[in-house]
Amino acid sequence: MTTTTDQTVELVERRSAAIEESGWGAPFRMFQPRNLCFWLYVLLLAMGARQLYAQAAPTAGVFADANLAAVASAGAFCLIFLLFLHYFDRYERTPTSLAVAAFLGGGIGAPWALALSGNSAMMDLYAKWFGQAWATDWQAGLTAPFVEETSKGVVFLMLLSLAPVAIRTVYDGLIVGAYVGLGFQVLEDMLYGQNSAYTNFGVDQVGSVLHTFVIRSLTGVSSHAMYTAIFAAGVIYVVGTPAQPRRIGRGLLLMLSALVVHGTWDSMLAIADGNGLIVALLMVGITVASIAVLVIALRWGAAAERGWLRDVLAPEVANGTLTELELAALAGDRRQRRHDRRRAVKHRSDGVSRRREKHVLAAALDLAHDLCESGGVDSPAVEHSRAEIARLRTK
Amino acid sequence: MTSVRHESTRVPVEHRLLGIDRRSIPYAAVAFAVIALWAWVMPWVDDQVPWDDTLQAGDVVQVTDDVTMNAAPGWGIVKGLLASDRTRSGQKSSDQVVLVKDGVVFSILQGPFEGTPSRLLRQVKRITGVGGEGFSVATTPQDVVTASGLRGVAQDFSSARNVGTIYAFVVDGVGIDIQVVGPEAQMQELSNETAAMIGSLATTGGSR
Repeated sequence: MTTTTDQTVELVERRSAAIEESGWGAPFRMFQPRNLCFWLYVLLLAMGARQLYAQAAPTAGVFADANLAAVASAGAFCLIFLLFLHYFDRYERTPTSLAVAAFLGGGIGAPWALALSGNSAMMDLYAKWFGQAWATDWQAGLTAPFVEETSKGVVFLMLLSLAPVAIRTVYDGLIVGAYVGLGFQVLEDMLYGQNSAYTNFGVDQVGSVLHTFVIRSLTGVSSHAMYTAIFAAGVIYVVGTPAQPRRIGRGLLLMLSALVVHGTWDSMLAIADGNGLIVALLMVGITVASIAVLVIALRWGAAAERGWLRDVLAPEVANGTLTELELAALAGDRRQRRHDRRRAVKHRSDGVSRRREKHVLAAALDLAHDLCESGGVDSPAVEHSRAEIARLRTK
Repeated sequence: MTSVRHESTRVPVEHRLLGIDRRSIPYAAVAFAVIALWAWVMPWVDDQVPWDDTLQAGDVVQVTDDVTMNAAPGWGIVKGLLASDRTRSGQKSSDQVVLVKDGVVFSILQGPFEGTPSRLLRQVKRITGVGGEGFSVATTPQDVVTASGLRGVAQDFSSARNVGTIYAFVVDGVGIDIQVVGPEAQMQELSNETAAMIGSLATTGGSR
């Protein structure tokens, strides 16, 4: 009896330690006037909003159709990507206010306050130093990665300072970085859409915007959201957090990968020497390479996430809310997890359908989120989640 | 753990410096350096480096993939490709050409366009705002014919500080909008050169 109690106490202590170390469930508060990064973030947003207004307002009436089409198409892209991010954000829910701050910083601050002026200056300098032909080939690939990745990177860095508990893990870097990149991508797509309408002299605005949107979406796997996710994961390694000890080499490698993938993508035509087949091969190769880097970053971060999830939910096995198999199905490594998930479904309780057992696993993740938000204590939300699991088993 | 979660609401005393959270300083310093670099420093450096790519006699500007223009010597090329330029990507012309001389800007925008030069002129005035508040526009557009036979239209305009002319041509489904803008004195001084450049527009396949 004593041994069982001791074990339970130990499990609960490990849960508390996991929640503390991971920062899971920590709230985010944007208004932090004593944090210098708060004021810099406000400055960046103000600069970006001013530039955006200056650029868009004078032609808003003329390009109304283009703007509407750009908002609709970029919004659709954004929605799909948000669903994707939500799926990957399985271990922890990123606070909504943090996701919004990342999206706005990436969408308004980074492109309009920094990238526009930085890109323009760098491209001018390349043309002045190396001539128009050289600049035509290489200016995008040798400008955008440096200007844009660092611009988005500082948005992430400021949020890291503002949310040192909510952003602690490599996964946090990947997810929050992706929100920053998504904001950048959506606003950049809108800008490209408007540019496209402009170069068509304002004729068939919707058609020209959608044409640009389709091309950018089809080739959009290797996009700003992915670059920034990788770059931000690198920042986490370089800076180091209580949950992720500093690993400068690994961090720089990830940040460099984001720059190389971005730069290679933007220089494809010049690298291929105008050969269409090589361009197609490069597109596939760069997309595969960027996905590979992302998967590596996910794997590097996943082991710690699984360990924390196991620690958070282990007391729930001890108190009978979950089974050992279900815990393994949730917190095992990817391949093992799939196997354990099948086992958990197969060895479900009598009278529980396969579909319902899958619901139990999803509800167990809700329970983990609620436990983290309550700091591991039995809050009403935690009790509700446990009751939900019980309801699913008995129904 | 509780103390960690309260960290965001009150700065611990040992981390305060003049009321500021001292831990935010390194992050803010790096962020400010990057913001300053791209928002102010690089544009300033760019301003300090002059354009010295001056067109020579015999240089031909590639306006579209199929249309060229003989450049007047002495103009600086800020953006655009020459017919003699060879890019690795195979790109022959750029969407925009910008030439400058003595405060006069000679800019060319090209893009897909199905319609007449007059309609293109109307569209250009619409998207650039010429004809709106602050502009005075000549009442009737004038027909323009280049030496090679390309037909277009032109319309003069003026604002408080500058005068200018918009030219519009449509060649094989590609619209060409040329705007020459600058102070009145310089515009008059360079009018022969700008007229010569407009008059030299020709398709690479020959006259039309």
